[in-house]
Amino acid sequence: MTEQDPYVDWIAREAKRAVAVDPMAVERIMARVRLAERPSRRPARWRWFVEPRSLPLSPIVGAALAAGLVGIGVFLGHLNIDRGGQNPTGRSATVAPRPPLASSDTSVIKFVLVAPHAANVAVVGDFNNWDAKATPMTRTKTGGTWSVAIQLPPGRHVYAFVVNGANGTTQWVADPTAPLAPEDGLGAPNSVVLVGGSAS
Amino acid sequence: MTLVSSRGSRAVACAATILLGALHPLALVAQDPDPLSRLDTQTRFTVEVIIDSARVAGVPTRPLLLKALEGAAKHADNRHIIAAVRSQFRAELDVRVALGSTLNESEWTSAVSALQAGVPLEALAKFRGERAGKPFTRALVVLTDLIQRGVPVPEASSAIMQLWQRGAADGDFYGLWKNVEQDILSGQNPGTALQQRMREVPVRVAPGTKLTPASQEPDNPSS
Repeated sequence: MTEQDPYVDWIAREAKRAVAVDPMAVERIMARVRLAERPSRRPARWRWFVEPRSLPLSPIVGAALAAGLVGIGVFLGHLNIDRGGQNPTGRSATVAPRPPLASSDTSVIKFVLVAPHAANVAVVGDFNNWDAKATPMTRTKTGGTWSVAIQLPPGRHVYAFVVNGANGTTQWVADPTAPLAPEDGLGAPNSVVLVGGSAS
Repeated sequence: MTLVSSRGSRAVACAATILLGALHPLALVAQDPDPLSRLDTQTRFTVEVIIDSARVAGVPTRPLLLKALEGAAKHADNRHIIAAVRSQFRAELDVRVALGSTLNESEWTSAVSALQAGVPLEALAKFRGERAGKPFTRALVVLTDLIQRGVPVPEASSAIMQLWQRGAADGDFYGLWKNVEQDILSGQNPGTALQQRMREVPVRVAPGTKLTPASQEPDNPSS
């Protein structure tokens, strides 16, 4: 048996000694607790929006999120820019402004082309800035008829059909049911549609 | 909100940057704020010079822009695109001489088309003299089409002018065009087809209308 350190004995004694507690201490503590403001069970909702938090994201999810934000921007920009040839940025010097047209001024015009062997068909003209991807036509369930209905403002509109064959060929075709526009040296004939009374 | 990636925010930032870079051109195409960007630099420069000239001259610029875009869509070579835009501009200047400058865009373009189809300026100018507020877009569209289908220019011009002076309605012009087109497709001579179909168009002379000598010979084209 080894000789014990006197400090160890003292510590052991102190640890075993009963602590004298003021009998009123518990009452005082509880009285303060009762006086204290009761915390709300629900934290303020606005705190949820401002509290910083960690959101684990994998790179692929982050990229998808960024793509979504860009898509929203493109959509909003598409809605906002170039209605009636007017650009709200005021930077487009080459697009002549046209007076805005009320929706009631426009007419729905249906374009139809029979092209049974086509892989896809689009109508292209001055109403869509000659963008071959802007107005694709839909094949009817039966036969090889392609059609699309679009709203056009009153006036004279020049257009043509772009017929893409299954073998990859592309052909510009005038509308066989509409008046012809004159040859303009650009290699393919155009048609004319007049919208509105006297096409004014 | 703070986004913290478990793989590190740098990876997300890189991916987003790459994606934004890839999508940026798509965004421009979708909004199409600069349609002339479809042209190459030299062609674009020339087209813009022509458009500026048109603006200064006080003739419509939008048809010139659309002509350039049409050329780009049809993959025409630069020389043809510039030639087409320049031809359009010159025709607009001629139309202004023949018809004045108080035309709407449809009247401008239909008159330009008629000129390009071969209608002489003198014949076009008659529409100005007889105009009296009447729109002539439909008349010129039909006239242009008839010439495109082979009707001789003098006959087509005379016939359409007569109809227009008589106060023909839109439906009259459309009916004439449809019938002549069918006759031509059936193999009939274009001039003859027009001459015969002209007889079927009803005369609609408004009270007090003063007829010119040409309009008093409705069925006598020069063929």
